[in-house]
Amino acid sequence: MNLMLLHFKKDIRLLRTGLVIWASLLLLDTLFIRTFGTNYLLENTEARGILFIVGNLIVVSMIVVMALLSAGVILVDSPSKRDGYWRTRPIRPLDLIGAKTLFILMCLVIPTTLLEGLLLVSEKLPLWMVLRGMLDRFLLAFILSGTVASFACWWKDYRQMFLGIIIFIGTTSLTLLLFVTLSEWTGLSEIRPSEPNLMQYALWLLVFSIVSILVFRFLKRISWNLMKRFITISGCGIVSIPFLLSWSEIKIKTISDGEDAFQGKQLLSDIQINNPRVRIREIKTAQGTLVKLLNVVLEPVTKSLASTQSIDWWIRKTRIKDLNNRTILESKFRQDNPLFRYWSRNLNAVDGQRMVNLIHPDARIIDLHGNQGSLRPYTASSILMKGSETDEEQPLRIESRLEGRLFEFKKVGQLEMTPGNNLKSKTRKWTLVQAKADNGEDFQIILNLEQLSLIFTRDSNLKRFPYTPFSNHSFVLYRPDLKLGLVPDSFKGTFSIQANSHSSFSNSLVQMTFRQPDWMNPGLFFSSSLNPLELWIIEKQYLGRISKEWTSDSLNISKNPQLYNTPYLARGDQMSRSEFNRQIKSLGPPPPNASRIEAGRYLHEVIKLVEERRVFVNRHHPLALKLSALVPDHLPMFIEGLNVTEHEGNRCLESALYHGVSDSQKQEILNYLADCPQLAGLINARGWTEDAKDALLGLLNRSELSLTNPAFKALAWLENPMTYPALLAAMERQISLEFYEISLEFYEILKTIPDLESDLNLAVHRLWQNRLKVISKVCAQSTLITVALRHGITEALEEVHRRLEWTIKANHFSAFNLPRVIRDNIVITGLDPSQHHNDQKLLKWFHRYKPEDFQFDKTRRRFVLKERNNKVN
Amino acid sequence: MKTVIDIENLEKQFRKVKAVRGLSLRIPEGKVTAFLGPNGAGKTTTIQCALNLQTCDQGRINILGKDSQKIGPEELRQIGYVSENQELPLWMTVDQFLNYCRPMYPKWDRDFEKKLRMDFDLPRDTRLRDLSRGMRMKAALVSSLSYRPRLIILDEPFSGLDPLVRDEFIRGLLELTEEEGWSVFVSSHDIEEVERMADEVAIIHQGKLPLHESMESLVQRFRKIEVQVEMEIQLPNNLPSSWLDFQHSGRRVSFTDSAYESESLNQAIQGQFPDVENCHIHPMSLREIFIVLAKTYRLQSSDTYDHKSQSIVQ
Repeated sequence: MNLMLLHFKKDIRLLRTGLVIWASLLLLDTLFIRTFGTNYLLENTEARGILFIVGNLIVVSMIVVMALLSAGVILVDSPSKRDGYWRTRPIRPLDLIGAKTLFILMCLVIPTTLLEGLLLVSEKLPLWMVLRGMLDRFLLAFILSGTVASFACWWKDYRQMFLGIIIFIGTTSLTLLLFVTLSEWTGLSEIRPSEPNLMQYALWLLVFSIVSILVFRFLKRISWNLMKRFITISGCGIVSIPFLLSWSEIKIKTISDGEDAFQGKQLLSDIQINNPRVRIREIKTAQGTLVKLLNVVLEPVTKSLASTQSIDWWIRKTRIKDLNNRTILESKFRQDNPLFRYWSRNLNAVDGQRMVNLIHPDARIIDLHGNQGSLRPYTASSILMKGSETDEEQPLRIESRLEGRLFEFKKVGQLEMTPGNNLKSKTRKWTLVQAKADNGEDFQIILNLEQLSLIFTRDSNLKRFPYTPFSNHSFVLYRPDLKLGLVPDSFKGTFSIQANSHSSFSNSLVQMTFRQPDWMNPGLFFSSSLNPLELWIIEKQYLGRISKEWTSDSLNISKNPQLYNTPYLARGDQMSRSEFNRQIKSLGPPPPNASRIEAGRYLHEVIKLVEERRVFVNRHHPLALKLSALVPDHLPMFIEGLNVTEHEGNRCLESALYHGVSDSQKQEILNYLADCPQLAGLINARGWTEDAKDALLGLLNRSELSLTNPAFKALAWLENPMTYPALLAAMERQISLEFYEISLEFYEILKTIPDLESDLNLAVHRLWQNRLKVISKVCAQSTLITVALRHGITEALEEVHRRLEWTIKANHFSAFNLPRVIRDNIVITGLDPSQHHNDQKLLKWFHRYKPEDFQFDKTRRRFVLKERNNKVN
Repeated sequence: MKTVIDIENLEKQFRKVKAVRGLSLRIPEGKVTAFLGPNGAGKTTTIQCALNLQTCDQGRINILGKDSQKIGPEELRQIGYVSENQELPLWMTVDQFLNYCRPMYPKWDRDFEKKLRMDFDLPRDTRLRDLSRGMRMKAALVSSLSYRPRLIILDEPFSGLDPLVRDEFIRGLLELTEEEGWSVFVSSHDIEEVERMADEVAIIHQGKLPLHESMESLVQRFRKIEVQVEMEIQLPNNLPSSWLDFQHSGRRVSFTDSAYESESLNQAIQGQFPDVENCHIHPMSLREIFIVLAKTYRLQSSDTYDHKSQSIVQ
């Protein structure tokens, strides 16, 4: 013991200059935090910038000095010195190790731990938080200095040590990069619930390598030269990487209690990809050159997740390959870079509206920037690839990696709009600093978050993230009496209040701006009285990601895709009417029996003009009649055109075909149906459905997503049980896409099929149960409500009443498409028929009644007023 | 005879260079053994292996009766080691340095420390960094002798010491060896100084030990011979193998006899040089003997080297 103290005293004497600097930095750090604690405002960005730089400079200096002292105390008696004076002295290794440990603890670790404790006590935190914060600091300081000290054992002096560090980090980083890249591309690690970032890897590698080297050296007692040491440390780092990667998986699984990973895995096997849509697009660049792009659209469909969990599906690396497995094209996105993905955990991927919706199914949330009410798993995702070299006739396959990110949500609580109000959780304290409505439209909230955030914890709620503490939370301004909430329009911050960020106690501010939609009464949310409002705080936790490799069947781009040239669209403008007319006139139409080249050139020019003008050429448009003259002699050209055009051009060709196709061409049309399902519309319109029965049923072999509405309608007319599942799926999809007229028409066709009644009923009830409660656009869910009303679902009527309350308070009578929904689904009695189309009067009439005043009339499939109410009126 | 260091078949290689090749050596207790050899012969490597500062590739070393690879604080308390290559704690003052060393040795003799400090004229409060090379060596010697070790290992101890201090140091060392039976293993290029104190001499060359015998016998065995003949002669081919370092100039011939015996030498001279005019026989110092041997080892071809060395040792 005496000898240990002797060595300890010697080390203190030797490193006293460094210790004085260390002590000064500790003192400076504490004074800095206490002095500049809360003395600056959000707006004072210049001062904040300076404080940020100074604060971080102090932290970095502290880390550097601590590392140098830890290394210095070892290097003075370095075991790697062969000619060392001390190696021939009767010094027991235990005494020496004890002395060095004592130095690290007494001079480095304990002082910084005590100061951390002092800071936490001065913040008036509970004792357990103080102790937990101190433990965190202790572990951090001990691991840092211990690691550096262990590493220093290998070297004679600082020069050798720094060289060793550079070689070690360089080698292991390169290997890690290689490993990560390979594991990403080969899909070795199918499930990795959460990835540590590179810094965490580096720390683990360092600790692991040093420990393994020391053990190895102790066992072998080999006198290594410098080169051998360099090689060995690099080797240990490299070897440790696979262990660390697998270790991280185990660790994260423990955090997310295993169930999440399991559920993610289940989802992975359940996911369905409908046939992809591949299109070739030509985009005119700013320089005027045309760039050919291949647009791959995939639509992952997955089951809903349990309770408060959600998943985002994305298409990632995608390759177009030929049948010999040769890659022709591949997507190149920053997100596909493994390193980029390791740095980003993407907590912002999930929007607030979905959180609220999953936690509080009754609440209605207005989110003007969200996903327009539809969850990503149910929408298509697309990527663009430069594809100038693609051979459109070649049979191809698409290989894509689909990635889903799992999240879990939890409501922390709500704050009333009185400054000073706070919300305490176990480790966090949210305080409302300021709440004010500026101009009746905007509402600003400044929120303060004080929290304990630790590095060494398995509790994900306490985990200190490398980014802002607000990134894993969402906020909603909520009005309980209306059950209506707003998602913030913008954030300003986060601003750290503490001058230094290394303390386990953090204190930060964020300024949120809420903006009320213009279709609502300006005073609805932001009136002078803020009492009814609450700020909901919702926590989101990233559980991890799952991925799946998916390969399409063989496809041929030229058969499936639509080609369209839209330089005007690309530039975001539109050709003027006069210019359009002038150019159409200038194009002399060829005679009906003109050559294909001549007719094709004319048609191409017309379609281009139509797209640039963005005009929908319906069946009554003169242009349709003009083009129809070419159809009898050039039918294949028009059908090919249908396949390679979209929107305006497509409609133009369809209208021309409607007029131009003769009865003698019926069989030809039926033959083309398999390659061009869109012709189903023409077949329906011309009354050839029965004759096209086999061809139409053949369409079911195709992906449902590649079929258009007319094709489904034609299939519905066949009343064939084989078609029912596809028809129901198509209906559900259309309803979720909110095309009111089209969906309703299709639904009504299905309703006429007697065998489908029970399944249709089930489907509508399922849709209603899974409905979203997010109001993102005016007509949100009016189709679903209408369908539900036609099935006698009383909840739908209650929903109409709730929306009615908002619209009347907002003085916005056409909101949510309500007048139309009422007109279409409620039998209006007691109101003059001339008033039925007066939205305001109609809504006021409806407002006089409660949902229970109505009953469902199965025959009319409408809600009617009960007898009693009728009589009253 | 009891030994303090027992080296058997030691081999040590640094990359492609064989520093020590099958060296065997026994250092007797209570005697001063000089370990001589030209630069790069393997002296320091052998000492470092003995003290476990280097690991041996082959062979075995016992030091104070214990395997050198297992020596611990107990053995190190009985060993005093001073080397010119040692890194001393230069940031300490002489006082701090000795104060730090003192508690490590239960047998530390403060009076002896004082005496040595006075003899060496060591300042108390000067940092080792600020001392001259010689003064640093003195401080190292004080720190290694004050606890009266059983075995003193000195690797080039005289470098930097002025002649007066050298003289005092050697005298002191000799007294202590005499009085307390210290064993000293000293490696040095200062052969004159070593000659004054050495009981035994071991010469190492290219990692091998061609010579190890007592000082007395060595000095007895070697003579410098100068012969003058009447007429200029050619050197005969069949000279005795014990005659080394021939120098021939006209009628004068000089050489070193490594197996001197008066009668047999006279007969051999008569046999080789029948017309001897006069012959002078001089005793040789250790330095002269070492130079002759070193030259011989270096100049002789490797084939004959083995043969000659065998005969010299015998």
